[in-house]
Amino acid sequence: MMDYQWLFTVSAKWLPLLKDGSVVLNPAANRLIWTATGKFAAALIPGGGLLSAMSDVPAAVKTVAEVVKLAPALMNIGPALQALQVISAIGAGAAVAGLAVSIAGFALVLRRLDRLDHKLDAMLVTLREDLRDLAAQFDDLSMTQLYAGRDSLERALAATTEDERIVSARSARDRFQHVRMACLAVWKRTSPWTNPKMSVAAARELQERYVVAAIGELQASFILGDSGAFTHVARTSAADVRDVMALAPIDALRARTAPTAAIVGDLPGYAAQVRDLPALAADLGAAAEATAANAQRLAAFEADAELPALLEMPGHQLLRAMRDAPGVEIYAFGLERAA
Amino acid sequence: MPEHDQIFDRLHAATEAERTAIAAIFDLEPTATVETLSRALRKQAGNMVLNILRTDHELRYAQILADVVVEAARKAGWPAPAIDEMAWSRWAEEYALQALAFAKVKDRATKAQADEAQALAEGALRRETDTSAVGSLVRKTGMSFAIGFDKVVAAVLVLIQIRLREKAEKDLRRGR
Repeated sequence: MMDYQWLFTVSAKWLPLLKDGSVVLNPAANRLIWTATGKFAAALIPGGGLLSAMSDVPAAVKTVAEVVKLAPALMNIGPALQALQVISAIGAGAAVAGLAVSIAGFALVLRRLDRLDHKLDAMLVTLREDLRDLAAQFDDLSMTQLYAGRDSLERALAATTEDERIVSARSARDRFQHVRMACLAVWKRTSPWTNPKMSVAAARELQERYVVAAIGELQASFILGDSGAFTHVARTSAADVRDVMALAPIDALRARTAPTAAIVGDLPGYAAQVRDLPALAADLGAAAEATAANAQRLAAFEADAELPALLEMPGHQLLRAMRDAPGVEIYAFGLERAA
Repeated sequence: MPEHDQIFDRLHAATEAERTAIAAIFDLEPTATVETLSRALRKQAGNMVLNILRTDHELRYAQILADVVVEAARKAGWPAPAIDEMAWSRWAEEYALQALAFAKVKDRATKAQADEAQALAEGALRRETDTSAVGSLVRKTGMSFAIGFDKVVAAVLVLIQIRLREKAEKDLRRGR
């Protein structure tokens, strides 16, 4: 895997503003944002490693295949470079620093799906009896729905006709939206952070499914080219994670470990709970960090709404480029704006 | 003595839920004061005859713990461990936790697992000694088989939880 800092960095003209605090690096979105407003300020530019690798490529080289042959370090990002026409710009002798970019995180996409370990499913079986009225939501947040959404999304990217792309993207968007809303409904009903019946791992997976569904919905909206819907999903999903799923670890720890007089009847059980308290606290601390990072990441997507316009490239083409460039988790695309 | 001993310190640091649980264990009002809770714990833990000779808060936490350790070992099916008289109460607490938690799984444990758990628990008692405790010999009260001693064990477990929770909360605040 490549280190993205090797690829992209802050351009010199932004350094004074970075130093005086006018702008800050948004690590979740890999771009500079204005400190005061949080709005997009500038894209990152190719870093020393990327420039160094490209400097070995003769100006006459014009195709990605030729570049990758001459600079194997760039193999992983070849498709992305091609999509952004970076190669031809280099070939034409243009200044690389003027080209690149911001973000995206789209590459993470639904790869996260494969990291879910289904801890939640076992928990849902035990909760299903208590929450019969939520049975439909339980079905909607199943992994099957997420896999189906991913399949529709991939079909949308693979489609060779506009009609098929639109139909598949809409199907993906709808499926992901159902999963997202189901996760939210179950979350509101179960209050997982303070609910001793739900393990922290299961709570994290419920949140992760929400985030994966939100990213899937964002990507589907991106393909559909509706920047308004895209912005709405980015904004509301970030707010849901930040507000509804907010985790105050100390409050959660107290709620989960609150003893009752019934402990006299199960001293060994209570002793085991007390013994495991430090591990529980550590889990909650990590979950709080993950929740904050998820909210930040979803909020950062909002600025991507402008990428197709900035690059004059349809959303599905951008996503394809990222999909086809395995090995790099974070990409930097877009055009740098004037300060 | 004790206005400033560990029982008082922990009860003052307890959450409302923790204090209420201890009150319920001793059939007290949920709003019972720290003094009332301390008195109830010490009375329940102490020898009835000796209690007459003691003031309300005289029985030391270390003495109560020594009995809890014996009771925890009994529940785990282990022989009562030899307790260094200067063993820091924290390690005695750890022994009690390990032994009681093992009691939950002892029926399913292999001999090797039981031996390992016992060694781990007894290892806790051989850790640091509390030099400040010199002169304050721990003497068991011999109350561990008394009726209602499970209430004492439960209350002590809550006191242990208070220590662990406070430490965990401090770590969480530092991590922010």
